[in-house]
Amino acid sequence: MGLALVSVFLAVNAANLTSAKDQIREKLKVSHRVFMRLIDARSQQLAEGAYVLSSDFAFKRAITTYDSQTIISAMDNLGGRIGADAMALVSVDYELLADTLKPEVTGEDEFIFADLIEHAEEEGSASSIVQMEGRVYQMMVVPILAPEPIAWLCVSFVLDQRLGDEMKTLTTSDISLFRIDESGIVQIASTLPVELQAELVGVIRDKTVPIGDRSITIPLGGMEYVTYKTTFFEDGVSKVIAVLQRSLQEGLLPYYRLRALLLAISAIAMIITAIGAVATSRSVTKPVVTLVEGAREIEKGNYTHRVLVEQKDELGVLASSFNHMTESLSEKEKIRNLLGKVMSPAVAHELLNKEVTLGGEEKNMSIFFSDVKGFTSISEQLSPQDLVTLLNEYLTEMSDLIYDTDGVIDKFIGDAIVAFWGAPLPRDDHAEIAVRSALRMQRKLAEMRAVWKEQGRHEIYMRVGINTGVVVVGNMGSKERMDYTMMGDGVNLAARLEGANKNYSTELMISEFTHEKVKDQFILRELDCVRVQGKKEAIRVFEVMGETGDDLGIDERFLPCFHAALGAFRSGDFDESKTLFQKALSFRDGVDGPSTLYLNRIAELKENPPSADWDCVYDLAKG
Amino acid sequence: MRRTVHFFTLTLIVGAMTAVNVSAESLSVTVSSNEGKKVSEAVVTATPVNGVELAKTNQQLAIDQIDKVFVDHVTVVQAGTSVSFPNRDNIRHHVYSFSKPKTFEIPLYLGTPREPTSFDTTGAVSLGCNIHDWMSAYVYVVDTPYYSMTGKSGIATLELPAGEYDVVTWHPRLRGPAKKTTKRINVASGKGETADITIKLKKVWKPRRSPVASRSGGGGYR
Repeated sequence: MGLALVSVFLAVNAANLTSAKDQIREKLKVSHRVFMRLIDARSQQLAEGAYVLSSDFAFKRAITTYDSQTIISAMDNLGGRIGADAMALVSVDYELLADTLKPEVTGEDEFIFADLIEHAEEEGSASSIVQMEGRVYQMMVVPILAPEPIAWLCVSFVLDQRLGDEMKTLTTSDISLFRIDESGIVQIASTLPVELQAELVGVIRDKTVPIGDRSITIPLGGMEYVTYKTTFFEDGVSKVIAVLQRSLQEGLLPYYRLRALLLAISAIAMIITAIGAVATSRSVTKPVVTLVEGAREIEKGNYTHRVLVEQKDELGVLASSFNHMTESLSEKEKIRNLLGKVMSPAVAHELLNKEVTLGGEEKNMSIFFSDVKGFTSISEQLSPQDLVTLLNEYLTEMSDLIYDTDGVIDKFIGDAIVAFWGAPLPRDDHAEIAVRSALRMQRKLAEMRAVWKEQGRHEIYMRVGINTGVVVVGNMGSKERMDYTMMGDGVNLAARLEGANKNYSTELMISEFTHEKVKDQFILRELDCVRVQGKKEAIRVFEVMGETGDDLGIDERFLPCFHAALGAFRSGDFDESKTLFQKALSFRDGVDGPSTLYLNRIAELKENPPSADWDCVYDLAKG
Repeated sequence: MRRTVHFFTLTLIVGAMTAVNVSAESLSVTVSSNEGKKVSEAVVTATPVNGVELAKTNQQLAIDQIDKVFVDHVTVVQAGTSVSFPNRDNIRHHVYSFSKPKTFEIPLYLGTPREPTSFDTTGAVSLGCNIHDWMSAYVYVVDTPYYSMTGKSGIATLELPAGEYDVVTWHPRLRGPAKKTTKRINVASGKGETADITIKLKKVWKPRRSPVASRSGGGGYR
């Protein structure tokens, strides 16, 4: 905007300057024409005046007295009529009969401008610029006809300052007249200030300055003068030139005034633009910044932030909408928080961001079931208040660990936790995550137990069952009341595995389906091959002992020994198996639930040897 | 008509000479301008080198003003001749001369002035009318009885006795004094003589007849 203004100013300025200079040149040309016309008119006027004088009969009579004093006197009288400055009478034989400038002449002197008379004889009259007595005259020569020429009347008009002033009045240009002959330059008149006149003579004398028919600009007295020279009289001997000039500075005055006005307008426009820019920044930039700040606050999660824009324009409306949006976001966030509290944050998020519809989908997930060992007896020993406190403490810590690994808590059933990984957002490593979370939960619980022990409170142990498989997951219930939950055999199996821990005195049992996914990441012990009630297929189950690389604090021979024992058991070599289980038990100082279980089974089988179709599969008791 | 009168006059003069003197010879002078053109209205005079006694003339001549024009334009007279200026127009004329040989003026008049004007000094007298700038006539005053004027052919024929003469030619537009045209010519007895004379003419700027005064010409000066 500012740049555009400056460009416009410069363009207009340049155009004006050019135009102003052109105008000065044009004025000078006009001055020149006026000057030439004036000179012509003056010559014409002088000629006519001279003719009228020459035909005065009384003057003719005076001439024939041949008395020079009489003639001079008569000429003075005549000249007065037309304002002539000098008059002379020349005989047809070129003798000067009388001259008002030289009253002492009594005739018979050769007239010095004889060539003029000759010219008049040829043309009827003559005109010239002559120098007499140090002054320059315009001289007209006309015949005295009686009726043929009896003499020549020379009427002269001085070219002087008066003429220059008159010319200046008419042309408004400065004018300087010079007569140039071999003896030098004589200034006839000049309307220039006196101090510049000599300077101008110097310029004219300086042949290198090309003053001519084209106007040029020459410096005079520190000012620039557009100068135009014209030669308006020239004979072989001398010439008279007129130098017409206009001060560039004076000529440019209107331009300077225009420029000042233009500058003022430009400045005002710039100020208005600046004010406009400030106003724009106040009314647009500032509220936009406020809105951006507001957006950042919301990005950070600060839903209490409100933007303050009091304008009533579009930005005000936008700010108002922004605040409404923040409010609704804030409300949504409240709901989200609340939802997160009553359900898994991942599900809450899913519910909040998708249309909630009844219906489920099949998904491969890892299902987690846990409960507290001996909860019934614990609940009997504690006051309901202490029980709730303890339970909440326990559930909070466990829930946090589940949430931390993007698990979803399906529900709490008293002391039991039902959770899953792999939905609603699918992830491939849900089995690994589930197992690792379970391990962490056990470790966390061990820490908590240490604290509880110190506090003299009850210590809680947790049993966990994990299965991996395809189950149906989705919103189930009625249109008014629904749960995001799961269904399927896989879920039931996980629940069974959790309960089965009792039999083996284990705390974390997984199915062969989960085992398949995590066998490389964890230290696992195969526990058994079981059949769930109502199902034909047998399922191998495993105990998760720790993560691969963990130091379990167990003799490293233990696991191979146990697995060898299990192998012997399944092949029916009970003696060998018994020896190995005993050996394994010894590696753990006699405390190992599964080994003990198998030793009991071997003892029982020895009592009652199995049938031929024994498949070493045990039915998994319900609950 | 004036021309007839003029010749009659010449015849009178020549006749008088013849009567007084011996047989007359003929001098035929052809006058040309320096541009080679034959010049009419050139006055050729012959003055005997050894002088001549001139009887005092009491000739009476008239130069009329007819339709604001002098008639004749050029009149040659012997010194001492009186010329009258009869005004044949019904308006006044103001005849004047500022020429040195005869300066005179007959202020506005009608008819024929009572007194004729006497031309006693030799030389050219230029006549004008003060109220009609274009009116112009010449009286050429000579002091010899032998003179003649060229016609359109540029030839002037003088009848004179044999002898030696200074022949002078004058014309209204002659450049320079007539004296400078002087040519000495010996006219032999019984043979007659011819001569060629070349003169320089100048332009003479005269007022033109105004359009009102003349239905045929332009106006103003030129």
